[in-house]
Amino acid sequence: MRTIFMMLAMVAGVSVAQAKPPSPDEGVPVKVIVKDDANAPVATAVVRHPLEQDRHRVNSVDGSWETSVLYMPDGTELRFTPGQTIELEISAPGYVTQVFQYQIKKRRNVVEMKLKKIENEVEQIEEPMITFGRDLPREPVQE
Amino acid sequence: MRMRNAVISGALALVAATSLPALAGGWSSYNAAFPGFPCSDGWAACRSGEKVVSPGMSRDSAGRPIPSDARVGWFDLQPTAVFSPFTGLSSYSGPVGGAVAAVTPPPEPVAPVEVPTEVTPVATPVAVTPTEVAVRPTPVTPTPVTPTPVTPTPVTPVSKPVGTPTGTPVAVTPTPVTPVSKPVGTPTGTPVATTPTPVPVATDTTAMKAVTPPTAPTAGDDSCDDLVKIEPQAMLGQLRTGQVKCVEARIGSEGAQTTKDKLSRVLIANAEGKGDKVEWERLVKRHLEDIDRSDPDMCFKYATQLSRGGTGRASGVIRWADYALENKQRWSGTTYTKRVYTLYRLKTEAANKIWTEAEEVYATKEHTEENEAKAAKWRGMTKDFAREWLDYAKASDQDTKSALAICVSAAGNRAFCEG
Repeated sequence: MRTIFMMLAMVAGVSVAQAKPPSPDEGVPVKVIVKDDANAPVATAVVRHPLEQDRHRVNSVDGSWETSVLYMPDGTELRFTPGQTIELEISAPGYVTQVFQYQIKKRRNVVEMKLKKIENEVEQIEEPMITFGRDLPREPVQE
Repeated sequence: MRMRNAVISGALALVAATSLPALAGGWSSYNAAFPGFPCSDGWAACRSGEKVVSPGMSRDSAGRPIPSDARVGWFDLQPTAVFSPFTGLSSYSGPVGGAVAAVTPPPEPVAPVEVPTEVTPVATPVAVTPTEVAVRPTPVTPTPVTPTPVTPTPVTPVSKPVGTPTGTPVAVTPTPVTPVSKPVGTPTGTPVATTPTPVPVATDTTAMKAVTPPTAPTAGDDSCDDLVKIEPQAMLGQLRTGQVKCVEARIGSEGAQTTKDKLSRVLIANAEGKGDKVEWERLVKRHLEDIDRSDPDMCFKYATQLSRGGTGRASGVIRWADYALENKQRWSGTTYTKRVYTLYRLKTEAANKIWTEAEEVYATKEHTEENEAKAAKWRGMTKDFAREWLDYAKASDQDTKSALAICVSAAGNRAFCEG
């Protein structure tokens, strides 16, 4: 009785530890990390598919965003599959927007994107002179 | 034969005599040889080392004449006295000539006139102001009044009665009355005991006319009645504290908005002339808030000044840029296109600043719905302003790079901006 119980327990343990094989219905996760020129994460960056309505904020600590599926405005799902090429737009306030294409691999899909700051114009503004107040003579009325 | 030669040579001489003056250049042909301001610092004449530079011709190392503003010699390419263009203004140590404004000294106090001792003092105090006597000389007979022992009768004021005397009437010894030949500014209410002292009365009525004020403000004149007169001082930032106070007081008391506008502009010019940015900002803000905001130049300048500050002033930039755009039709030509472009740019950059800060607050500090809404609102504003800027830049053939970058950044895709 005792032996049978132990065998059952071992079989149950083995079955639990066995890895679950990836389902073909689930997408392959893709991770995007957004950093600036100084290699610091851009906390305010957002990632967006061109056909998508929503913008996905990155993690404000490490600047990363990860997903395996996107939901399109028409209700369809866009699941990431190996070999598929996707296009994503990365933008952040004060940075130049980047658009990139990526071909999805079977695993380890990590993309690191660098954003450049928008260079404000340093052109000197030509300021007008503030004039003194003067009374202008009224134009004669033509009869 | 001789006759023929003589005719030909005579004809040649005639042709030469008529054509040579026509070929010669006029005085304007030599302008380049005599430059008006040859010195590199803009003076008409200066010293450079041992050499004196003037509008006349200089000489190169071999003594050949060259224009005095030539930096190198024409023949030898050697540097001349005005070779360096980076010299500063040379100092002038000579005597300063020209007209110097003469300041009229204030009139010396006139010594009191001796009063005859035999005259008995009058105990009856009479409220007579010295001003009345001076201003209205007509009732007094032109003949000199002789001192008579007649008891003097109380003299009533000739013109409008002065209010209640401030001082207490005191019977004192006759106060010597000084002859006053011009109107006195402020009448005093101190009662003076009139005396039968002979008062020299000016019989010439023309001398009693009001003296016209001097044309130029004197050194201690803090009046501000004539604004045109103090404008040059204001432009240099040299209005005295008294003048500034006078203008400020007038701004507070004037009823007409147009007059307030003129007064305020004088103070603004003075602050700008002094380089006092803080005061300038305060005065311009008051002008725009309380007096008039229809001047696009002032709104433009104020918005530009605010744009140099941080995010806290960004909403002010948008506000005053909008007011400037409301009256942009007062500009024309390239002034119009440049300023309108700059105003759109200022608005977009200001909104972008606020949006960036709102996003940072939401992402890193307070992840609340309120902050998210604020970030979304300013993102929308940035997008709209950037699109406006971009459209105008395209329409006026100006640079679109920055406008497009901010527009795409806020919109998230190029389609919105390029569509």
